Amino acid sequence: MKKLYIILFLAGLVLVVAQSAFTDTEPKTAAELGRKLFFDPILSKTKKISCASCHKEEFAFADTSAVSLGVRNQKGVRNTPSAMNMKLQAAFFWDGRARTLEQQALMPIENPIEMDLPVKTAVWRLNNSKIYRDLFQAVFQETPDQHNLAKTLAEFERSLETSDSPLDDWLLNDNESAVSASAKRGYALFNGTKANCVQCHFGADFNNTEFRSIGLYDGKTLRDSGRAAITKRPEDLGKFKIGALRNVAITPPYMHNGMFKSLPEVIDYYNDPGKVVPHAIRRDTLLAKPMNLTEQEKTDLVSFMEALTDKRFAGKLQQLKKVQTTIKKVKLTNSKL
Amino acid sequence: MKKIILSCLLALVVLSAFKLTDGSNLLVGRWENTRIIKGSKMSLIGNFKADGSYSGFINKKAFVTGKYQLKHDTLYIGDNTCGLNYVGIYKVEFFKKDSLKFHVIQDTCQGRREGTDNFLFRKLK
Repeated sequence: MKKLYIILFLAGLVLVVAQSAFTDTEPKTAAELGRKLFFDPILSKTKKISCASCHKEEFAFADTSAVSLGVRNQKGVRNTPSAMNMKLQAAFFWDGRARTLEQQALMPIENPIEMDLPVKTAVWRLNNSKIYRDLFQAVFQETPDQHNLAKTLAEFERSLETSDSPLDDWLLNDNESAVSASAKRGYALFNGTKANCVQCHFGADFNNTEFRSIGLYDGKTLRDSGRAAITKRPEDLGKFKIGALRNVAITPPYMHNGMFKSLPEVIDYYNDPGKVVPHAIRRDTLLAKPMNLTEQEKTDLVSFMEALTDKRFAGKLQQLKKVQTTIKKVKLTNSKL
Repeated sequence: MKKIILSCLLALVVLSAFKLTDGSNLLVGRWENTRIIKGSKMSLIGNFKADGSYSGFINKKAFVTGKYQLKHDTLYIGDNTCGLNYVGIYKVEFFKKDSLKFHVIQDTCQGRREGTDNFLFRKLK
């Protein structure tokens, strides 16, 4: 009899836990509804991928591949940027073709190599779903349409702000032990005249509103014209939106085409761009001369960028650093053989 | 001899008075201004340290670090974002010890000027 009670008690416990685990808390705000949609494949033609397929939450809503795969495994043409820290941005996508988050939010849905779903069809699908009809009614007091769909996705993205990195802790709370000595030296280099990164990477997210050519366009092997395709101005050839640096250490690979696999590779490039892309067209004059950084200085810059990782991603950063150390060791061993 | 001792004492008193003035830098600490931009609340914080460095924060995100000097009510402030070796000059108006306003005297750095000039900043604990 006692055994029966115990079994019944355990079964009840399992039921309660299972029930609470699978109860979806209903979205009450535009941002919460946007989150639900962001993770829902309903917005792709094949219903197999969602925004989150490429904007992976654990990597600060960026992707780990050079370019992402859209519906039917079609390869994209540019690296997926982080969808975090969008609130203060003035332009969206690498070429800045969207001026607002609302404009941006609908473009990947319609893009034939991304989600390939006409927005009209997306709206039709949402109106045919009782769940979404009710949710849009509760949040917007109207049925789903193009505008509230854009609004809800944009509001979700606006909610993805990060302001709790070790660097913030050090500078705001005067917590000297929040960052390493190497990161502090890296920050000084970043702001100083030798590396002078701050000339382009300034602002709350360490990018500004400009588009610059860092020399990744040569018209031969590197043929993405970037901003020029939007503005139709030859002087914009090879210009791209300056990349934001918050959480950058957990969003490899880097640049608009994902050509650099790690931050040390990025620093090596900036140190002497001509060595990597010798015949770049219209490379910014700020990168005209090699920086001549020492190995220690390069390490310090990487430490500084790691210190821009929000504390919620600290575990992911450690994991990635371990992987990169292993790769480095293997490369070193191979080079000795 | 008496005159020399008196002169030394006087010099000490004068010097210690200057020391006192330098030591009580009212600007040291964190000062916050909140405003509404495009319908959403934005916070701007300046953290002024006793060593003459300062950092700025937008919505608690660090975005600038530079150097400053406060001479009486005049602030000399510079960072690499606004130009190497360029210094903006502001009059600082304190209200009791818990709030202040910056009034631009001379600053060609548009971002810094627009972010600070005439805004009320309250001291954070």
